Amino acid sequence: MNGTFFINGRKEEWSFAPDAVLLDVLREHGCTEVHRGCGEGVCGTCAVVLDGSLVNSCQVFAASAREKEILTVAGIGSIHAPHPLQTAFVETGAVQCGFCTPAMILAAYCLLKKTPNPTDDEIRRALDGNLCRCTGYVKIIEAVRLAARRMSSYE
Amino acid sequence: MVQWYFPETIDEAAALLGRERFVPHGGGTNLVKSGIGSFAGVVDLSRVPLNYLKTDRGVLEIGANQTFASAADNLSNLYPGCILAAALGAAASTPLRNRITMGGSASLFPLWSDLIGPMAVLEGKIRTEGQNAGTHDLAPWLADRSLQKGTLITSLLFPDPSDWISVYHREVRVGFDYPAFTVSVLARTNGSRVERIRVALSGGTDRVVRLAELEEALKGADLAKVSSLDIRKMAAVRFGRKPAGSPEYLSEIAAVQVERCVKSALFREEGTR
Repeated sequence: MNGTFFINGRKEEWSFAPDAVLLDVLREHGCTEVHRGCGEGVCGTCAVVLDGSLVNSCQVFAASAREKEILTVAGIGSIHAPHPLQTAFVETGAVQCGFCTPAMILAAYCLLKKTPNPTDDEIRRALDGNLCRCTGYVKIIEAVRLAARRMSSYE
Repeated sequence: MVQWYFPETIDEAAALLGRERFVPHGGGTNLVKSGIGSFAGVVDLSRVPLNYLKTDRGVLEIGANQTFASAADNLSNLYPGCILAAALGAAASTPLRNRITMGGSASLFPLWSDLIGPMAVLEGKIRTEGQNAGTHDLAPWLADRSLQKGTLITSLLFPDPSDWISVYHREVRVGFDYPAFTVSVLARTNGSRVERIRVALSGGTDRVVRLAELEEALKGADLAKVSSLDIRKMAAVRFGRKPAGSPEYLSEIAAVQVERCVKSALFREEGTR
């Protein structure tokens, strides 16, 4: 089947199998910043923002995501113009192996859109379901806190 | 090959679901896990206008397309601290709460859905259209899977949940873990007496049980005498083996948690409302 997808502001026409999940379709079309982890909706590394909500793309049929806005981490900043969250992750050492990082940043991005000055509890809660297996979450939470401070001082 | 359908009205969706080997898809995760290869049609419900939450004359109605995240947010504003808001806001993880729908959970009551305990104590109902159109209580709905054949779940109905002290507990190792069991308690006290109380335990060999003996023993009881009741004995429920522990262990800790939740509802009313 065919479908139109709006990826990071671009309009794409893609073909896919009726039972394909969004994760596979995104990766097959070059969005490899969306990572494949468990494939069961547990680890969160495949997270994307679908019509404004953070979802596990391995748990979304591509057919049901047609005509929708999809945001991956590549859509919020680039290497030359990084988003404050991306800068904060690098500066605090929250990027370790990097595998969970895109989804962590997207989860934090959704949180800060809704809650610009989150508490540590709110950060932990927003990032639940995003697993990091390098060490832990202290630097990740620190990065979100730092980005929140910087982003609110810009405004 | 399976075909996808995108109806825009309840009638259209119900008619499609009346066909053989057609399955509804609200947006949740169950069909992804089970696969759609054996179906002739998948009826995507995202365009059917069932994404609402409203109250009317003391009845709360939540449309089948509301996600757990939206419902929890809306309920937190309408009825802060109510058991539904607590349960739906705690289920699964943030990205999954953004997908799991009320209708999908009412169809399957999967392990990761925290809906069934609050449904049991609030005595919620399931409204449907299609072959078995009507309003169904939880127990017959769970007992008779054929009620769902050719049927579209349109909404869940609950009596105003603000009129209770709510306590909700999910037994997990980490926050977004599948719960080994959940405890739902609604209570109302009047002076030194228990005016009314409802207690449900989910996750045992029965998917959800109302602890009738315990409710009966507590109803009208003097609060001073509650401590002398053997709540744990009245909360004894059988469990199967789970990753979280043996049947004996789960039965024991479930009884302990029931006792804690009941006492929390009755003796720390203001803190748990």
